Order: sequence, then C-alpha cells, then structure tokens
Amino acid sequence: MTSRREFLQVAAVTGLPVIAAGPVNAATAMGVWPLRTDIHAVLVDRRHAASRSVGARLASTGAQVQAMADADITQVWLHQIGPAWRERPVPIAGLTARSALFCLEQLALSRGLRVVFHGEHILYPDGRTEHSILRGAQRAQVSARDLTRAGPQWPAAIAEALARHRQNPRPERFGPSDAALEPALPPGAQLLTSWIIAAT
Amino acid sequence: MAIPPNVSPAAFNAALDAWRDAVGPEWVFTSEEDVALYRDAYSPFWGEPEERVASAAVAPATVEEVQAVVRAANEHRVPLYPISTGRNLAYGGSAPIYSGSVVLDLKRMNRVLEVNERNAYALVEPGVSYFDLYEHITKAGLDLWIDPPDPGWGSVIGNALDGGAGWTAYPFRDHFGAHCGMEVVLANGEIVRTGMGALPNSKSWQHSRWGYGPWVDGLFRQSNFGVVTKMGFWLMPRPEAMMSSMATSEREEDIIPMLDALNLLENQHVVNGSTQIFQGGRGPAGSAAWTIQVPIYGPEKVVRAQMDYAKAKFTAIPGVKFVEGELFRTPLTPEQLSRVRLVNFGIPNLSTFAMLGRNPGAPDPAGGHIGFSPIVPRTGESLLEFKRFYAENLPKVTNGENLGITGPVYMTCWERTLVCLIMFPIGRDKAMNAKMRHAFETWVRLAAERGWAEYRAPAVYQDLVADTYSFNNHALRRLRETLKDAIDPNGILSAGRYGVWPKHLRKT
Ligand SMILES: Cc1cc2nc3c(=O)[nH]c(=O)nc-3n(C[C@H](O)[C@H](O)[C@H](O)COP(=O)(O)OP(=O)(O)OC[C@H]3O[C@@H](n4cnc5c(N)ncnc54)[C@H](O)[C@@H]3O)c2cc1C
Repeated sequence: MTSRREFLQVAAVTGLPVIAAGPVNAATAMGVWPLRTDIHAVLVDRRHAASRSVGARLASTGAQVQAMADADITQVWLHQIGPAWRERPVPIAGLTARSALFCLEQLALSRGLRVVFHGEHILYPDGRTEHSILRGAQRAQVSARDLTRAGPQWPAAIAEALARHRQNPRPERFGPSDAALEPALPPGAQLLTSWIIAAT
Repeated sequence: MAIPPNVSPAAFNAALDAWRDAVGPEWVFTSEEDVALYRDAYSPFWGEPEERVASAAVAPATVEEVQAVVRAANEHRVPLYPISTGRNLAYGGSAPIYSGSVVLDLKRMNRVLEVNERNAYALVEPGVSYFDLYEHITKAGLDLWIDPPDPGWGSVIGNALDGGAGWTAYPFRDHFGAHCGMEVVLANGEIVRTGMGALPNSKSWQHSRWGYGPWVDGLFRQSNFGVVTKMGFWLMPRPEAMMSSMATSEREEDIIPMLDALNLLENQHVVNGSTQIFQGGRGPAGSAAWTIQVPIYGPEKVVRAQMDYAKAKFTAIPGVKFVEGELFRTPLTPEQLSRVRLVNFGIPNLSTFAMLGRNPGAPDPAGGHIGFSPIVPRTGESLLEFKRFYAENLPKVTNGENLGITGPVYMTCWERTLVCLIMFPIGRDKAMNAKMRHAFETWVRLAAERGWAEYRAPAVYQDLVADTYSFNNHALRRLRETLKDAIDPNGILSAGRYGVWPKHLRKT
C-alpha cells in the first residue's frame, strides 16, 4: 500500500493538491470527531465548497484527501488509486461530480470493488439543498432527513457518514450504480455525489 | 437466474458446471447484481424490453480456459459474447447483441507479452488497456508511443476489433490497420495463429503482417468468427517533435481547394496527424468559415521543413491564411502537458467523461450518447453536400424539436475519408430516448440514399446499418453468412454482431 510519504511525493509530482491529513479541531454539528476510517483515499472536487469541506473533515480521520481541479480522475487514477488497487482493493470515498464516480466505478468493477454507498445532493441556486441516499444508508447510519436537518452543515454530516460507514461482514452483492448518466436538473442547480467504493 | 433463449435449463446448468470446473466457480457470474454489471449504461433502450442484456458471464484467465469455455458452450449450444475490457460505451458497452448470451469476459487476460523497442511493436492479451500498455512502456523507459482513443481505459485489442481509431499519427491511429498477427480461439475450441504466427516457433509474428497464403485477419474485425486471445500492434517510435498549425479561410467554397491541399499533403505523407475541420470560429483575419488543423509528427528539422511545405500549399490558395502553431519537443514539460489534448501525445486519460458530464460548459447534459458517423469522400464538394444534407434534414429527423443532437463534426480518422460524426444524447427518459432512436434510424436511411454509410454502429443498430450495405441483393451479407456457417456452425459466437446471424437465428 502507498505510504503517506509516497503519497505526498506523488501528489507533488502530479501537482494535485493534498489536503493535509491531521486532526481537525472542529466538533461537528452531527457528532464526535475525530473518527478513524479505513478509507484509503478521499477524492474531492475543489470547485465546490461542500466538497472541500468534506475533504478537510475526512483528513482528520487519517484518510488521504485528493482535491481534484474538476471531474477528471485521470491523475488520481494513474498516481494514487490505480497503484493502490494493484496491491489490494482498498476502499475509497468522495464527494464529486457524478462522472468522476462513474469512471472510478468502471475501473473498480474489474478489481472486485463496488459502489457500496451512494448519496446525491442537489444544490439549488436559492441555497436549498436536496438529498437522497441511494445506497448504503443503513451501514452509514445516515438518512436524507438527517442531511436536510443539518442544513448548511450537511457536508460535515456526510463526511461523518462516510467515515462511519462499515461494511457488512457478510459478503453483499451490488449491481452498477446509476452514475453513468446525469439526471435533469432545474436551471442553475448543481449535483454532487457522495460515495464509497469498496471490496464486498 | 436468467437462461439464454433456446437453451434448456439442463443444458445451461451443464455448461455452467463445465465453466466452473474450467475457470473456478468464483469466475462464473449468474446473480442478478453481477450480471447487471454488463448492462450497457448508454443503451438507447435502457429499461425497455428491447434492451440487450446478458444471462450470465464467465471470466477465463488463460487461453486454455477460453478453449474449455468455448468447447462447453459449443457442446451445449449456449450463445457467448466475447469482450475484452467491455468499455464499448456508445457502441453497446459490455452487453451482447443477442439478448441472453453469456458474456465471455477476457479482462483477466491482461498480460503485456512483449514490447520490442527496436522493431517498435507490442504483443498483448485482450485485457490489456491503453493505461496498462502506457504504464508498461513508461516503466520500462522505452522510446515508444501508443495511440489511445479518447477513453484510456479501453482494451487495445477490443478497440481495434471494433474498428476504433485514435488521435496521433497515421498509420498508428487506425487501430486495426496497425495490428500485426493475432491468435484466435475458434468456435470449436481450436487455436489459430495468423500471419507468420502460423509457423511453429515463428521469429517474425509481429514483423510481417501478411504471412503466406490468403490473409484472414480481416475476418475477425467487427465479426463473430472467433475469440481473439492475442494481438500484435505496431507502435510509433516516440517522435522528436509535434507541431500543429491551422489553415483558415473566410469563404465557404474555399473548403474545396483546402481539402485538396490537405489530401495531397497526407497522401505525400507530409501531414500525418489527425485533423479536425471546424466550421466558424475566429481565424487570423477575423471570423473564419473554415479552420483545418495541420498536425505533423517527426524529427524536429523534418517537421519544420514539412510545415513550411504545407504552409506553401495552403497559402497558395487565394484567401487562405496559415497560422503556425507551437512546436512541442517530446517528452512534454508538465506545463505543456497541462494545456494540450493528451491523446494527441499518446497519453491515455479519461478527461472526455469530465467533459460529457455536468460541467460549467454543459449545465444540463444527458451524460450518455450514441453516434452516427457516415464515411464521406474527402473532398470539399462532399463535405458541403453533407453539410447541406444535415441542415435540410435536421427538422425532418427531429420533427422540428431541439433534441440536443450535435454535429456534424468532420474528422480525418482514416486516409482519403471524412468521418462526419452526429451525436445523439442518451439519458434515462424513455420518451426522449425514443425520439433519439427515431432520429438515428432516419439519418441512417437518409444517408444511405445518398451513398453514405456508417463505419461502426451501436449494438442495437448493427442490423439497421448492415441492411444499408445491400449491393446485389445483400451479396456481402450472404458471403459472410456462408463463412459464419462454416466456421461456427452452431452459431455460438457473438450472434448478430455487425449484422451476421447464425443460421438458426436468421430472419428470412
Ligand atoms: C466519451 C467517449 C469517447 C470515445 N472516444 C473514442 C475514440 O476516440 N476512439 C474510439 O475508437 N472509440 C471511442 N469511444 C468508443 C469506445 O468507448 C472505445 O472504442 C472503447 O475502446 C471500446 O471498448 P473496449 O476497448 O473496452 O472494447 P470491448 O468492449 O472489449 O470490445 C468491443 C467489441 O469488440 C468485440 N470483441 C472485443 N474483444 C474481443 C475478443 N477478444 N474476441 C472477439 N471479439 C471481441 C466485442 O463484440 C466487443 O463488444 C468513445 C466512447 C465514449 C463514451
């Protein structure tokens, strides 16, 4: 598995900003930090404040956080996730555009990993956010209602859910997520996707 | 568990047992969730009865296992659909043409068997992706380039077998055209090596393409005559430099002499890069009617001399301006890499999906698409005719609605031709998908009336397009059917691929 030191070297080479791992002294509205997670890498999209916020929070759980400039996963795949998965099928998570999840899911399938958690967050121009959890709500102990209740703190809540998610000890089967395509949204609305890809 | 059509549960179970013995039970997939992974995410029939779906999947890791799987399928008459990496999005994904076929998934056969720098070739297995081959070459420090298509995750073999193309220099970007020698498992389980590979202990399998006697490799392109388990490819030695200039003109009719100039330069092997022909945009003198990219790969001195020659040819056309582009010495610096289209430099990537997904430039995309890309002669007259044809028929094809169909994009994937790509967005809205299907089908028919046809088609339209190749009462199809019956008499391999059906499934 890539060590933290190697990872930082890779990030330096690829020019991908790494959000430093280390304790974040913010007790969230939702729970107790720091949680520890076995998630190997967290991908965030630095165009979105919510995504950056999730990255900052998950850094405190020991996960390595990669901030991508957009939805293109190529560099993270080539330098971080591809090499890690060649060693073993480590879990990864993120709050990204749908197309980033789609690409990673496709690459994951041939290595026996599946999307085990999938949430969607529609950000409306008037500031409202609509949430749905399409997969893995129970194992992450989170519901769309929890996220709605968290209001503007929802990124903290989803970060905590991602960190808290535990795999079912019994092998589970998962089909494809529906990340390949984009749902129709009202003008100005944006969609962020929270996800975990893990061996099942 | 789904069962393939015309196969009894007992026969299917017997085949499954034989496969489990051959490849190990963990590599035979029958659960609904596992089989769903082989659905075509861009299917224009998603969730409708006509969607093409698999019944099961089996994933061998060696040629011997492929032979065992094929033999059992033949014995029990179970239809198979071989895929390499199965990422054939826009052309059917991993899903079979004939619903209920069992996907023969070759992803686990992922060894790069040889890369030879001195003679510039590679020999690979089906599961080797462009990413894998690139990494192998980069790690070994070899001075060779690969030619990836836009998505770098596809299979070097799968892409070539489907007639795919890339974005560097000719002849390497014609992926099937750049292959040299293959190994194929036939429907009876027998292994054939083509070209020089038929010589036991051959020393020149990837050196000489033609071998001895009738050349059969073409039978395995866009076909269902065998399972390809190895393939050789000629690679481009890393070019010292690449320079891409632009010729522009403000007058619509100038495209005629401009394409003549491009053809001459290409046929003289002066311009070897992949060109796109853009309409509109800003040229050196203001707004341009046409912009042609003029990319050249090679040694720096030669590239500069060839570019001078190209410039002379274009600027000899009254009104045409020529803007010299930046000369890139390879390997590129990180700064250069951050602003070029990586596939033009032989670097596989996935940025195309970030562009297709929701982004500031496309706030409401469907995400998926299928394409209709008729082949048109590379002349300005033909291009202008296609342009008129598109503009005149678009309202008819779409019933006057804005369906988000885009095009045509004019590309020069192969010598002497234009590929006129029209893209149809595909989503999960069944009513919208039905409109796209109507539009697609109408374009295919209208284009065929003008003597233009598609070079490659989405799985669900392979029959429709094959029907347009109907010279002399479908003589070509009948020839292919004769071959199919001889090579695969039980019709177990990829039934229906590119319009070739086995006898028992043929519509009379
Ligand atoms: C956004 C986007 C951009 C694209 N850009 C390009 C591009 O630039 N160039 C391009 O060519 N394509 C392009 N495509 C189409 C497609 O994604 C690629 O061609 C891709 O490489 C094909 O998938 P694959 O390599 O996994 O092949 P596979 O899916 O493995 O194979 C394709 C087909 O070939 C047959 N086949 C495969 N392997 C075997 C075998 N071993 N034996 C017998 N038959 C076999 C099967 O019928 C299979 O369905 C694009 C698609 C999208 C969505």
